[in-house]
Amino acid sequence: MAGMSSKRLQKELAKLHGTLPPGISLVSAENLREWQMDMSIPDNPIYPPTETYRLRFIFSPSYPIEAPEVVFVQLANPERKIPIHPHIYTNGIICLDLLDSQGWSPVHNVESICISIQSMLAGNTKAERPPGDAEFVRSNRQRPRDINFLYHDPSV
Amino acid sequence: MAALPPRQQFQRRTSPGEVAGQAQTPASPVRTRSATSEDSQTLFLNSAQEEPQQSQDQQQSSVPPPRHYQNNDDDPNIKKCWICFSDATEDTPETSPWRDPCPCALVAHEECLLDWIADMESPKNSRNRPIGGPKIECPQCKSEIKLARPRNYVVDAVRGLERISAKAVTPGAVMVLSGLLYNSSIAWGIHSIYSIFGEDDGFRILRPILLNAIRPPVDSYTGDLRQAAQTAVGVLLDHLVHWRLYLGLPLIAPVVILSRTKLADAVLPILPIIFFATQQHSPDDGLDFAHWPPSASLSFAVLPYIRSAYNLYYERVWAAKEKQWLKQIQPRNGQGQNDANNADGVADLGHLDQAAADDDNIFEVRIDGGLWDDWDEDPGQPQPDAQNNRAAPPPMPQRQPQAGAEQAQPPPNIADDRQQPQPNAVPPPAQNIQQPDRRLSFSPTAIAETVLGALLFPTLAGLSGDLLKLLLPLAWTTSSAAVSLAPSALAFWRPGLRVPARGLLQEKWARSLVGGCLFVVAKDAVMLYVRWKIARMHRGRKVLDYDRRKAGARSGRV
Repeated sequence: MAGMSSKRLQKELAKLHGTLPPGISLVSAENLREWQMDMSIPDNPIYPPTETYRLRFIFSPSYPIEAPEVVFVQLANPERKIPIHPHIYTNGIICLDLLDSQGWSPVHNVESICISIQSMLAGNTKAERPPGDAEFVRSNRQRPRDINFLYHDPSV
Repeated sequence: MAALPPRQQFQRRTSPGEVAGQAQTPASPVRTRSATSEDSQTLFLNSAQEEPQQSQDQQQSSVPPPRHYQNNDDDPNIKKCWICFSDATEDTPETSPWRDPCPCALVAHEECLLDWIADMESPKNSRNRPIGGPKIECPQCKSEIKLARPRNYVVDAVRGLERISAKAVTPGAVMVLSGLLYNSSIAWGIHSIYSIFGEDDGFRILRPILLNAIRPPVDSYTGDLRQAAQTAVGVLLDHLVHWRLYLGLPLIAPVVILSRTKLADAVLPILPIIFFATQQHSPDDGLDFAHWPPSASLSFAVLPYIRSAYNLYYERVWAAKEKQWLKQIQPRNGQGQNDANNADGVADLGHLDQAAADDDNIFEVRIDGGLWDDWDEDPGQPQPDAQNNRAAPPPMPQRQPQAGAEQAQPPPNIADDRQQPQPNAVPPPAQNIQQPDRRLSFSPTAIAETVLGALLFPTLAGLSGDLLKLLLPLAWTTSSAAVSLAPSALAFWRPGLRVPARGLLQEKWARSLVGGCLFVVAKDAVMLYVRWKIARMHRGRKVLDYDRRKAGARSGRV
């Protein structure tokens, strides 16, 4: 149902052009397949306000039935790093139940994803990488949605 | 589909009778209807706004003063599908009807809902869900969304069957495997009975189950159901009456194997007590300690104690020396060598065919068995083999007078198996070997050796018994009438006793038993000798020089 995904993304895009929550901004949305947003985290010393993080959204034709792929990207110019978080791997893959095929539902949208990620970062107290990060980065071949994360740390 | 900027009024349909400029109130407030398809046709007329923002006003004549919303999103009266985000204003004739399946405010197009539900139910998502029954919940209010599917009984029946069979797979597999194990244990048990007891006695013991082995199944189709049931019950009872055989035979194999582990040290001595406690009272007095030769039951019952006694003796007398001999074949500990190396070498020792720690797996923790394998002078002899003293707890035939004695009691587990002399792991010398370097290497080879050795033991014991028969004077080992007047093998115990003038060794099982014990003792002795000799020969080694004279002459070198 590519039609549905385009329609919906158009609407979402229009909304994003309007008002957004603080710290979140739209960078690019040239097509209806890949968007980029910038995010900064208020009020958390781990993530200084000078640092901005880049999120990349990739939508499939069956969006919103299927979750978008959301990862952090690392750029040199402008400088964008991957935030340090126990649920964010160094290749940018985010371990969030919302983005998994089991936790996703069409009632969410791009904005709500951004808000969730932002609050996940804002509420974080441990400046560390996930366990097994190096191994995961080295050997992972699956798309983020297919990875079978174990969501067992609700405190983060 | 063309990518249009949002909120463009691209299609409107006016219902007949409406005049431009007049607003039409919806038939009912958006929130409370039970969605019928007619509602989707409710339209709001564009009240002739040409605002660049393409927002529209809604005018309601009868209710509180109309509010103007900036865009459709904020207008609570416009339905918005939470899946595709289009609202009621964008309905076309092809749009599927609206549905409101749950108490909360979320509404959606039917098609969108069906797509979403199909995705939720798809196989990729139903990893953990029971087949054919995931509950679709509204993401906001979590109440179940009900679907009316067309029913087809065949489909339902088949899916029900699928569900049941999915649950039955695991128990089925377990049953098949245990059946396999059970039957192979029984087969092996039968074989070991024959090797220990010989043909006659063995057959006598096993005969009760001969009939049951290939009895045809109960034919329940011949008319009379009650008779079939009775026959079935009869068959069952026939089996149960020989429960000792059915229980004991398959137990022979695992007990034999386990008796090579440390677990046996604790358990085996208890078993004869159990055996004695459950011994049937028979006129034949299997438990008569007073006369010699002892009955088969008694002999086998006593085996665990003999085993423990032998183990103890071995540990006390030989273990330390053996360890010392083994140590001598290691590289000498010069100044440079560190303790770790030393400990390694010592711990390494072939010695440590560790019968498993109790808290660990039953199977062996072999801290290097490989070393000794190379040193085994007789490669044909599997190393751990026949380290066991006597395995089979055979069913005990009562003595001859008890004619109808098919109460062959396989005393469960009177296995008397001794561990390998090496791993008498209990002794302190072995223990300080462990502490520095406890390499718990789980070697499958070691396990296989242990298991095979254990399984072979009854056969070997039987063979040793036969060997005894060959070697010993005939008088000791045969019970013919002609010989009965001759002094029995151990008649010096009872000088006056003549009747029954029979010695222990005249029974095949007794010979097997004694043969097995002797086999173990002999093997231990040989191994001790070998190790001692190797340790001594160790010192006589010399490295040979390469013969340069010949080589020099040949190559013409100066």
